[in-house]
Amino acid sequence: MEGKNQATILLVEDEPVFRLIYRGVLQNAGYTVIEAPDGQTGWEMIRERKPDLVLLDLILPRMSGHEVLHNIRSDAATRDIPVVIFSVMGQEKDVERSFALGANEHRMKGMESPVKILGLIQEILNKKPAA
Amino acid sequence: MKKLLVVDDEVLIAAELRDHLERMHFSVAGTAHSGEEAVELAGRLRPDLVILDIMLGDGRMDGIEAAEVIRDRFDIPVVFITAYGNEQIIDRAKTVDPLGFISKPFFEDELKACVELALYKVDRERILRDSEERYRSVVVSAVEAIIIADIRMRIVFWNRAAAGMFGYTAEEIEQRPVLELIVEPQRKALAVEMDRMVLTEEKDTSGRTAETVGLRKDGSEFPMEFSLSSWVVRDDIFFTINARDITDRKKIDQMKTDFVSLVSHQLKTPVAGVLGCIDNLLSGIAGPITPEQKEYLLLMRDISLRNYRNVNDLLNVSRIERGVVEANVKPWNLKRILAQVLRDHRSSFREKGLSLRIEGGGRRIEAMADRDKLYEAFSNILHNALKFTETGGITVRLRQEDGRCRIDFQDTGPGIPAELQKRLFKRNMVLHGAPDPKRGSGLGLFIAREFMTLQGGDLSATSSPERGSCFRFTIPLAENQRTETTDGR
Repeated sequence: MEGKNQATILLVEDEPVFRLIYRGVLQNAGYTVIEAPDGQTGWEMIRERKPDLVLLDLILPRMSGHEVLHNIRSDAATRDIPVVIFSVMGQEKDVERSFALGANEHRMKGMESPVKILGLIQEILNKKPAA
Repeated sequence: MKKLLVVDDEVLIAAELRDHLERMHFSVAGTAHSGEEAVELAGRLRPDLVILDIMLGDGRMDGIEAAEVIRDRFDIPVVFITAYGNEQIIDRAKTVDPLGFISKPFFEDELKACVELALYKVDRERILRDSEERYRSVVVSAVEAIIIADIRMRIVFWNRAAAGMFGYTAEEIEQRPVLELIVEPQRKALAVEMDRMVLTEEKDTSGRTAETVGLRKDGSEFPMEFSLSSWVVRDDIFFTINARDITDRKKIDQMKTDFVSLVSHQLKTPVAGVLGCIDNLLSGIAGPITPEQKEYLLLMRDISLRNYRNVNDLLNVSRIERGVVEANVKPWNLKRILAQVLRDHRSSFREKGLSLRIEGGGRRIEAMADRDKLYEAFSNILHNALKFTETGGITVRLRQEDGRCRIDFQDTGPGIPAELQKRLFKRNMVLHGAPDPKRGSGLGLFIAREFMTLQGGDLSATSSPERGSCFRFTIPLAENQRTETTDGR
């Protein structure tokens, strides 16, 4: 079981409190967590570190979550990385845009507990063919 | 009383005319004996009508010339007196639009009839001219662009606002196709609409406005709202287009939307943060917690959730009121949406020890719905039912009839007071009576009803203290399920 959770998850989030919350849950589940406080840094870290999954906020300084997502899906080297959007923006148009850009999931912060998001992440990573 | 000016070069005739007219109770303001004098007196006395001899022996100006000056300078009409039936002279006289001719020697009756008729015409013309002037000034100075086009859709009139809006002067635009005022892709639709009006003889679409994209002389574009009407003058058809530049309104709409998004983000983020912290503490990843601490944390979570819900409600109401909510209706598996709502309220059922029964849950039901809005409507009603029900439970009943699906949420709560039932789905429900913390923002029911209406469904309620409350949803079934009418059991 231990070995299964060695995946690296990148958290792109400008609010320190959400980084704390998700770092806590994910590290507790055995994942390696790396963090970026803005979209630009997030995109650079995605290219350099190739995380196994990206947990991506939408409203971010320097580059929006949707732009980061667009970049991930446009680059052959990062195209297959699963992306979970999590944001307080849950308007239909926001969600539709996320899926149109190739997000694996779009979840609303606050509506769902971090433990639930963790379950979702585990599900996605388990489905992924082993590297 | 109307005033007359009498002009004849023969002093005696002038005096005699004046005599006659005064005996007939007309008011003669003065007499003149030459063209020049006539012009001078007309300017000074401002009569309503000038009675003037065509042949004025003295002076350089004859009667026709004098009449022309008087008409052009003072806008006063004339009646000619003439001793000569000379056609050439009469033709020349006609060019100044006289209101009548009196031949010399005149009969009293003839004079009277002629002057009375002329004065009547003066009146009529003045009324017409006033009315035309009034409409003209309204049209010319209107803030709205007013454009008139003929049957060939060519512009024949163009007011000041139109010149300002599109950048062409009236001279530049007249006789140009009216379609040139909008961008190319929109032209066909307008042409079709104009043709349709002619064919159906529909007079106007007033009250009905349409939006299009205007095109200025300099090639720039702008959002435009317009209404179209058509009218007929002696077999000729004309169109009137009233247009308004709505750039500012669009900008304000956008600002409002941006503002709501911003507020939404700023209000929800901290609450979501607090909720996340509480959830993590509750899940024990920050170390073990005592049962007493857990109780506090659960309370904190409840408060935060309520807060989150209230912000959501306010934002939804703001969207509904600005009319920017649209339903995205697609066939959905209704039971899956319902199951999701029930699952998300599982903990409330558990905490209060309430039962859940589902009746008519047999087979798959495809409904034409907006998933998120249906979820929200179900969720608001269930949330409410759970809040007010202390013992017993909630029964969800599904039934299909007449191409619609009916979903009842029946609770065993205390029922809704009669005076409250009437305004249950009103936006300002919360403003009535004492604020009750249990009631929340009071907007949930309003939103639920609005969201149902928006997707072609409905929501109503019946309630009594004995049997509790029942909220009934209806929603259209998807096409492939319409023909079957079963109760779904």
